[in-house]
Formats: sequence, C-alpha cells, structure tokens
Amino acid sequence: MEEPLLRVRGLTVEFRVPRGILRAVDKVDLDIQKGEILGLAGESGCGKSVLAHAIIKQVDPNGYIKEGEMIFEDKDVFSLSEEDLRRFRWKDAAIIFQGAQNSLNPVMRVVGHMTDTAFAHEKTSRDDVVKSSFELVRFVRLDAGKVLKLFPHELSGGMKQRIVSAMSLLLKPKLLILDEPTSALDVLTQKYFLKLMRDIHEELGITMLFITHDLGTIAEIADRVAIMYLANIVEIGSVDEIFYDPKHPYTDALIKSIPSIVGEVGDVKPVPGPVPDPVFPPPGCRFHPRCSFASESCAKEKPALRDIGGARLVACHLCDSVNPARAS
Amino acid sequence: MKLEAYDMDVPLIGVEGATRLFRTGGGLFAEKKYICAVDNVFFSLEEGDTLALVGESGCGKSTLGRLTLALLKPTSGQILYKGKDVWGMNKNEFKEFRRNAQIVHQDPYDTLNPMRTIFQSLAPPLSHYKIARNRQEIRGKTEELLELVGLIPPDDFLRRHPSRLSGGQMQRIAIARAISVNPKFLVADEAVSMVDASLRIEVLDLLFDLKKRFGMTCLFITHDFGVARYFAKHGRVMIMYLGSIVEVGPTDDVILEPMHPYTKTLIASVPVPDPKLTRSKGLPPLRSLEVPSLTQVPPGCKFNPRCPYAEKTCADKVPELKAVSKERFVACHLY
Repeated sequence: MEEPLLRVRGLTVEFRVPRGILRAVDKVDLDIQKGEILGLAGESGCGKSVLAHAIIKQVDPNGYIKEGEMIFEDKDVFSLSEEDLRRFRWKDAAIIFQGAQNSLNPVMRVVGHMTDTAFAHEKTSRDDVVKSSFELVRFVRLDAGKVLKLFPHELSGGMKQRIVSAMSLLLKPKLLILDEPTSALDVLTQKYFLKLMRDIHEELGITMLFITHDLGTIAEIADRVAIMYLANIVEIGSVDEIFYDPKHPYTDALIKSIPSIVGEVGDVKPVPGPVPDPVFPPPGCRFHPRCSFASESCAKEKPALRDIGGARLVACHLCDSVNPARAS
Repeated sequence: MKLEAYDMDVPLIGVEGATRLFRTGGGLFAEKKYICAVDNVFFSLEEGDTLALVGESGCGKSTLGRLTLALLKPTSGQILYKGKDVWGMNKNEFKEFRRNAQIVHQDPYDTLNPMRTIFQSLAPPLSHYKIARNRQEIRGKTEELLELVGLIPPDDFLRRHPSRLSGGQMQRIAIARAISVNPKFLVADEAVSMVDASLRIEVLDLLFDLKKRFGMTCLFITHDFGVARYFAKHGRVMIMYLGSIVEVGPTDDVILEPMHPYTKTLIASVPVPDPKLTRSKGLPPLRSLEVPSLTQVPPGCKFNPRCPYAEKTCADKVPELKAVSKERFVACHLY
C-alpha cells in the first residue's frame, strides 16, 4: 500500500472546562490516503471538528494537544517552527471551517481576499494572483469578471461558499479539510456544491477530508468513511462497506436512526439511551451503555481499532461474533 | 370559559388568505420597502390532523406558524379558530384560544429561563390557567408531566436548572410545558433540528405519541424532508416557497411522486444515506441556482426564473393552488 498523505498516531486533544478535563480526541489513529475523499462523520460534540483543526495544529485557547504524532508526507507537523507551520497551513493543508462564508471581510472586495491570502503565504506578484484567482473563480462556476470586483454582501450564501472554496485552492494545497461546509446552505445549493467538490477532486486530484454530521452528505461524496463517537474513531471502511455492511453497533444504529425520504418509515429506530457526559465518559468501550450487544468485557476494556481485513478497521470486541446489521 | 358550541364541519384552524408584510427599508424620507413573508395562504386543519410544513430557510414557514398562533397579526386575511377570527375575539375567547394553541420552539437553550428551576418554569402556566389550584396540585401535575415526557425520576429534574440538562432533555421540558395546559393545537417549529441525531427519533416519537394520546392537531414546521416524512407519515405535507404554498398532499404521495417542479427539484436534491442511490440521482435541471431575494420577488409564478419547465404564462400569471386529485393540490400552470 502506498504511503498515506497524512498519518495521525495516538492523537489526544484535551480542553480545560469548568467541570474538569474534556478529552475531545482520544488516542486517535487515522491515515488519509493520497487522492481520496475521506468522510469523517459523527454526532455533534463527538470531536470531529477538533480533530480536523488539530491537523493544522490549531486548537482553541482552552485546549491543548496532549500527545500524538502527525506526519504529513515526511513532515512532522507538531514539531514545525512557527514559520514552517504558517507555510504548512494553506500551502500543504487548507481548511474551510464551518461558517467560513461569513468570515469574509465586509469592506474588502473578493479580489482583495485573494491577493491578501496569497501574499500572506508566498512571495508572488499581484498580476499572477489575479490571474490564478480569475481561473479559480471560473472553476467554481462563477462569473469571474464580475464577481472578483464585488463585496461579500453582494454575494449569496452559496456564492460566498464557492468563493471561500476558490480561496482555499489558491495555493494549490495537497489536502483540503472541509468542516461542515454545507450545513448553512439550502438543499439545492448543497447538491450543487457537493457536485462541484467532486469535480474539483477529480480534476485537481486533491485529497479531501470532509467532515459532517449528515450521513446523507457522506454517502454522496466520500470514498472512505470514518465514524467517530465520543472522541474515538469506532469504524473506518469504504463508503459502501459502512452503509451496506456496518460492523460497529454504533455505525449501524446511527444509520438506522436517520429519518430519510427513502426506505420504510417503520425501519427507523432511535439509538437507545442518552449520550454520556463527555467529561466523564463510560469506562471500557464508550458505546457499551447504549449497545444492545454489550457483554461484560465491553465495560472493562476499551477496544482498539483493529484491521478485520480489506482495509476495514473496527473498534469492537464483538465484531467477529455479532453482525449488527443482520441482528436487528 | 368555554367557546359556544360550534359547527362540527368547521375546521379547528382555518387560514384564509393570510398575508404578512415586513418593513425592511426606508426611513423618514426614504421610500418604505416591504417584503412579503407570507403571501395569500389558505389551508385548514381538522381536529387531530398532522400537517408538516416544509421549506428552505427564509421561505416564511416560521412566520406562517406564528400567524396561526396569533403571535403575529396578519397584514391581511384571517386566522380562524373553530370558525372564529382570532383577532376579532373578545378577551375571554382570546384567552381560551391562547391556552389551546401552543408552540415548541427550535432552540431549547433559549426557551427556558436559565435562572429558574424546571419546576419554576412549569408551574406558572398551570396556576395561570387554573389547571392546578394549590401548591400540592401543581407539584403533582408537574411530576405527572415529566413522567409523560420520559424524564424519570421527576423529582430529581424539577429541582434542576436548565444548565444541568442536555439539549434533548431540555426539548422534552419544552414539550411538557407546551402540553401542560391541554392545548388542542400545537405548532412545532423545527423542534428537533437542534437535538442530537441519535436522539432525534426519540423526541419525534414522544411528540407523536403525545399528539395521538391527547388528540392534538399539529403543525410541524421543518426544513428536513426526512423528518417531515417520519412525523407526518399518516398526515399531509405542505411545501412553501418564497411565501407561497406550492404543493399540498398526503405525505408519501408528495415525497414519492412530487408534482410541482420546485418540490421535484427539492426531493431530487436531498442526499440520502445510501451511496449508490444518492449518487445515481443527477443534478436537477434548474435554470438558476440563486433563490430570488424577497425584496424582488419575480412576477407570475415565483419559481419561474429557475423552473426548467417554465412557459410564457408562468411569468405573467400567478398560479393558484388547485386540486389535481381528491387530496392533492398544486400551484402550477402545468397542471
């Protein structure tokens, strides 16, 4: 197998909160392969955004990266100097964070955002930046001649989102991280945005990490999917494997709990039990209090993410003996 | 105070030509500008009905919900409760209407006063409407309510402040408070969109069970077709676009076989958790991606500049919501 573009090992991110220490990412191992779209899904508060931001070594002031290793190609991200880190961000790994379309400077034209971004990261001429911005804005299916001269308030939400995408591609990053990029868009714009991202992916061969709570969006865009629950990755597999043959009971329960416009309404089932307090997570497997297959060992020992063949990783003690998809 | 006996043929809630304008611009000397958030809407709800109101953000669905509850006054048109115009009611009738029409809001964190315990939040409506007369009765009733919404043991929850509850639990409290005064009509405005995905179904089930148990009529407002289908599986769904109703019909009929071009494109765009299926759906052939601004609503059919099937009449004439079969209504010139 080829060397992954990004290799995350034992990553732990913690936050100091009034009630104690909240571990938002707990000893996570994750590989992102060159040229894939990896979908990272989980419920709100599971730590998926924190994980994404940690990749560019960006953590909120009350949080810190406790341990772990992050190797991007041959760079050790966590030991980069400030200057190298600045260059790493946006040139190697760019991120479109949640609500980024609302972070555009209201008194700056679109073209100003482009040149600002470029000058902050590399020495280049204004003409070159304008030229490549022109191409990129066209690439995100906007009228470049017109749009570059506009102010953010003259753009719709979907247009702003596309401008932000164009900006993120300006320095030709190898990895593009998208954190809930579609949650503020209406259904139609979302569909077109996902199509656009697929096109960008195919034409530029750019690797993407796509984070969302919406499994429908994941089904639409991802090649491979990682499912996260309470700071842990519980399952990784191809999009078809995850949706048609989930091995972890949580993955299965989560998929079955989505009310959709297809399938039988009667088949939709809630995930039993409450979401545990993340400051005091349950011992052993984090999902065992809500899992209908849980046995004694699940409460004692935390299952590691292990390979069950075919690049499929599952963190469950019972995944050899029970098949959640068929059992219920 | 009871309303006088009313004709059983009269629907519980009638919305007749409801229109609501909001002023957006203009000052002392500048010209006043208005947007039309709800535009000449007609519909009615029989007792026990479930109607899901679906539309994208900004289409006016929440405004319509607030109009039916008399939380907003329509600019023109009428809201009828048991056949009576709510804005023409006398004081006692209006108080009776207020008790009977309740709402569950989207954001449970904003609904509950953070300084009050759950008991302090639940008690006032009970004494105001004389549902419980003394402290003991109030206590008993609040405990009963919490048991109804599955917060057990109730004693423990009554003493807590909202900060010690999860989002799902808070939404249950909001539901408990809405049903505490025995309403006949309940509006749920995006009631589960802030609840964790894995708990959403439980809250929907709870709301549905209570609706059935107490024979409530429900207007369920959401932007999510999946949620609408789940909640209104035996009811109807109503699609709204830029302030107008474009389609109404039995939920599964509309979702499986949408008629209005707008409904069709919406349904075709919703991603579904099935990779092969969702990828096989092509892009809807829209002519424009941009939703027109409410300040510049296109003439004729509001969807015509984007509609792939638009004809000349579509830009000239506003289509009326008309019956195409016994239960289905569409506002489109093509039918």
